[in-house]
Amino acid sequence: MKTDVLVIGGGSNGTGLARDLAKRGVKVMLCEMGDFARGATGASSAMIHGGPRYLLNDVETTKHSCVDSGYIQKIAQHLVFRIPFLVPVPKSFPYGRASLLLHDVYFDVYDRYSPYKNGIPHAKLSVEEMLRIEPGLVGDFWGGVTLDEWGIDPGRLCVLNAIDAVAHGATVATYTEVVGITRGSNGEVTGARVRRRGEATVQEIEAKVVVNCGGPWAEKLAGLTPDSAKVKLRPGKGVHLVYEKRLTNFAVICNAVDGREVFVMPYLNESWIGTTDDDFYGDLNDLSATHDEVAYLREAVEHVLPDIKHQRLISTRVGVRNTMHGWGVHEDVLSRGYRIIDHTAAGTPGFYSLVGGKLASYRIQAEEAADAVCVRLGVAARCTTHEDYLPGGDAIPDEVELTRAYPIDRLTARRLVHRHGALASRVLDIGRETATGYAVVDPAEPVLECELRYCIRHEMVKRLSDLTMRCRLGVGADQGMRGGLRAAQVFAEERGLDTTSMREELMGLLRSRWRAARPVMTGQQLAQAELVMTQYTGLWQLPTLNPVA
Amino acid sequence: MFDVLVIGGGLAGVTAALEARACGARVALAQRSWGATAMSTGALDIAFAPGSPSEPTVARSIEGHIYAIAASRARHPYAVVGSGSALLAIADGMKLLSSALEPSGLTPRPWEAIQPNQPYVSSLGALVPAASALASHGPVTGGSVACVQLAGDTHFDAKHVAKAAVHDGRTSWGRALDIEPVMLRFDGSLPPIGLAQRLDDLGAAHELASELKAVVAGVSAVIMPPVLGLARHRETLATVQDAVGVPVIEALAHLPSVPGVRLQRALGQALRAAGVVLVGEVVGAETSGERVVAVQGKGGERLPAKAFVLASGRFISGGVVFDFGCREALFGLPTVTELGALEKDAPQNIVRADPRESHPLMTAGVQVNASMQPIVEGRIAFANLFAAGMVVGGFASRFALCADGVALATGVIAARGALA
Amino acid sequence: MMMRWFKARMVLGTALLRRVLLAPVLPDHGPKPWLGKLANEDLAAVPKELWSYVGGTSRCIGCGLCDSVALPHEAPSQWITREAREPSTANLGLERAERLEELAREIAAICPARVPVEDVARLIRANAETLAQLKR
Repeated sequence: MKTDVLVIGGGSNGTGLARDLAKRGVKVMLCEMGDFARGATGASSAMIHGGPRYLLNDVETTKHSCVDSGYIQKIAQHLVFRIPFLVPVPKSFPYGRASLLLHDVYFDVYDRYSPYKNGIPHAKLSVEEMLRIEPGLVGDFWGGVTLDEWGIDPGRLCVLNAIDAVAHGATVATYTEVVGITRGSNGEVTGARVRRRGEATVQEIEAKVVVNCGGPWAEKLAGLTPDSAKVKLRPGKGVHLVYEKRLTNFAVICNAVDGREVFVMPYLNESWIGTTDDDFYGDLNDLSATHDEVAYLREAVEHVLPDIKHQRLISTRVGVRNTMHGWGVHEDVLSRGYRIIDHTAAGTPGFYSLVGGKLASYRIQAEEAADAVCVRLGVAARCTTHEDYLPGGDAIPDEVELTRAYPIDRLTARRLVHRHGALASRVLDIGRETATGYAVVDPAEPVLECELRYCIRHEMVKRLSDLTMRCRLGVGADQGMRGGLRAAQVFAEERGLDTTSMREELMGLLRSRWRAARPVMTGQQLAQAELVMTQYTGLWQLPTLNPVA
Repeated sequence: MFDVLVIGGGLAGVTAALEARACGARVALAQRSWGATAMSTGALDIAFAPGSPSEPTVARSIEGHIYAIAASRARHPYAVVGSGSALLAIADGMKLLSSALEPSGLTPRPWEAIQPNQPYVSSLGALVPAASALASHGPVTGGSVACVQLAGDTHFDAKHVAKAAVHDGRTSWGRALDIEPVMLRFDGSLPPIGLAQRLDDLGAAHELASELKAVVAGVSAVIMPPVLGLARHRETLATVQDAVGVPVIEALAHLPSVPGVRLQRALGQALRAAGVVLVGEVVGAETSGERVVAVQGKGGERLPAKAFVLASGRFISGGVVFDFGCREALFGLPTVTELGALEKDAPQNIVRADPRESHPLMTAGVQVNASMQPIVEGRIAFANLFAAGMVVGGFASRFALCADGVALATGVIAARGALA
Repeated sequence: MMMRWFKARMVLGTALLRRVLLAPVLPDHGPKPWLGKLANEDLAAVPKELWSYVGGTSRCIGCGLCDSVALPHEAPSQWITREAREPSTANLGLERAERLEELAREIAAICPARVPVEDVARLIRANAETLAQLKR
């Protein structure tokens, strides 16, 4: 295999970079060891926010994020949704009545950047106005301020970037791990050695440039070169808790016991609490939320929204941020800025690392990295990723028209349009192929059979569990119980799998959902887990039924 | 004043109530709602201890499985009551159940402890071991079998079921099976329970039967999705069976389960027929020293009885509740797992990362002695309180496929204890 | 790092000074423009009382038993997990809310998870109502 640029990592940085380079006509290959968005991107707060927090320490990060947020809203309009935030100002704040003024001024400054991201000026709300929007708030407040952020499905964002990259000639290989970097006589990069998941043989990829977009794994990847310019990260573990419903349309910022800001926010048809940020030096491939993290987040929010304690938690999202290193600083103060490291000086010309950064500015990060790569390759083409739509982003189909053209209801149409934008009718056309094409596979979303088939055929799905990132299969309260079996059957049909492989795929899906739900398996979610086990008992029993000799 | 008041209307509670009635007692049964019994697959799981590749257990007798389970899991109810007693109680329970289900036409297939488990086809696409099953289900033994797909049915995919059953027959059971998927034009694009309701209409059942007859000529048995009637299951099944002329077998169900609904309803009818007084939900208990005096109905009524049988199920049915601490829901009894006492603990520590593993938390329930009396700190909790079914801790059905066997055995033993 | 921090604090400090000094002459936009924009995106306020009952509406574990009290083509087990999940789509579920209300008593008698179905219907209605108010 021969390519100009090898990008390592299928998060937002990696897929964004692959798209950028491919659109500039550069021959690019992307290798991801799992599926897209399995690391920091997939476990992020799913916001392309301006990062008002960073105003305190780093105005540039805020501006950067806001500008790029505006671009992303344009190129992937179907995938983006507004999240209005309430920031209640409690009377317990140290500056008394001036606290509200300080907040107001703070967001005045933030407002300067909001035109970049299509925002409108924030509002200062009286206690009454705030309670009219969110009557569940409890506490003594001076009032509150608002701000607007935008949410996005981060998994789909990566998938769409990858699909667009492929459409422009890139090669994208998921479940392909880079196990070595090859270098020439002068130390320059000549390519990489990669191994596909489940295979023993190692393949050589020839490349003139290798870009490390490994996110939290970037340090480890940089370590594959013998030089001393190791990338230094300070990995921070971030946990979100997922509630069964979208309880409200408003995100609320609360203060945790240690004074950190924690928020409860709506995300599609769920509500999330996030997030923790603790130094993490454990096994990146074996992450799960601890009991303390769950309790910490719950307590922070229950402080202002006490009734949330009666809500059902169904799952967790856990990841590690690829924050750049800076010793002796409180986690929150660490920059979310990014750096493009050229390892030439350290003796490995042609090797770059794109580290740090935020989801909100993934595109500009990718652009700058692509610029650096293009200089080295002598490519003059300019970036166009901020102008050209991502697949499906060019138009928003009318949901009522879709319900007339296909046997689906409006809720289903709305969810499909959100995920596929202008391509929704292409998804729905597949339903005509089979008698069960429009049957609901996962009622929690809902996910239709035709959407599964579409994703399996056109969205680089390798494993059944990849569908969770594509169309939210199995993320409802039942954690794949109802949708899993049928989805596995459809997957097996599309891929021509035998019974054993089909079962392995189904296990894989259920296992990944089980792992995410495990930290919150109490109350109804435990009853749910018991039911999942009961349902698939026969299937689980089979491997131990043992072969008859 | 009742002699026995049973809390819970699932298989364990009904068995206890019927056993107590059979002994001539005045019996009341409190049922909050349906529970795990209504989600039954249609199989009756008595015992199956999975083996290992070097030590297959498929050919082992059910009795042998019970002994193996009791020997390897000290807190399993089979171990607590002793394998021999468990076997006898299961046999008695099965007799009660068989006659109770007679009017509904669900009478389970006869089983023998000295026979091995039989292979049953499941809608999930597997050939699973079971001791027995409700009447409409049956083991796949051989011959040329047709597996029938209704048009537009997404809950039962005959292609996958047939392929998986043949696969499991070869790899797990050592049998070469001949199962072919067959497409019917009959419209099956309804939810399973809706489809069963539709087939309660004998006109629809006849229509299905004649379609079926045309496409399954020459086969020795027919596997159908478990949707052959709900309220009039007996007639619907007979209609289809008569038309086809060969055994028609319903596959074991996954959710939503038509066989489960049939079973739950039939158990309710059996209770009424046996003269058990149904008292609705109970929300509290009145105790005095070492005895339970009465339970409290939802409307505040006081329901006294000489003895009580607690058969309220586990997490699914709400008999046991876990919220970073685990307790039995009505009496607040502490719980144990198969590993011992369950301390206040986070799920990470008692649920494993892979769902296929053995999870201590999933075996949580009250600790009992051989008479099924709940034990707290080594002492009998209440002299006149007995437990039965999933509310008893120390086992999870999925590692020993024993939920129905435990329900029958503990139901019978608890009722006898309550009347002693 | 220190430079960036310093710059950030400067920006905030100037803004505060500006506000304090110019307070009498600066226009106050008030919350109206922000509140007004919510309607475009179906972002209605939280219905009153919501927090007192919404918890129970999430209890469903998907066993599907409630389908047995409905008509053959109906699947209340799917509606319960689907229709009430989002405030912004509540108006699409009103018919189902009505049907769920009719079935509520029968479902209550069998539902193992004790889902308060009348509350599910109430939630759909309440969200649809605040959404309608917002649009008015």
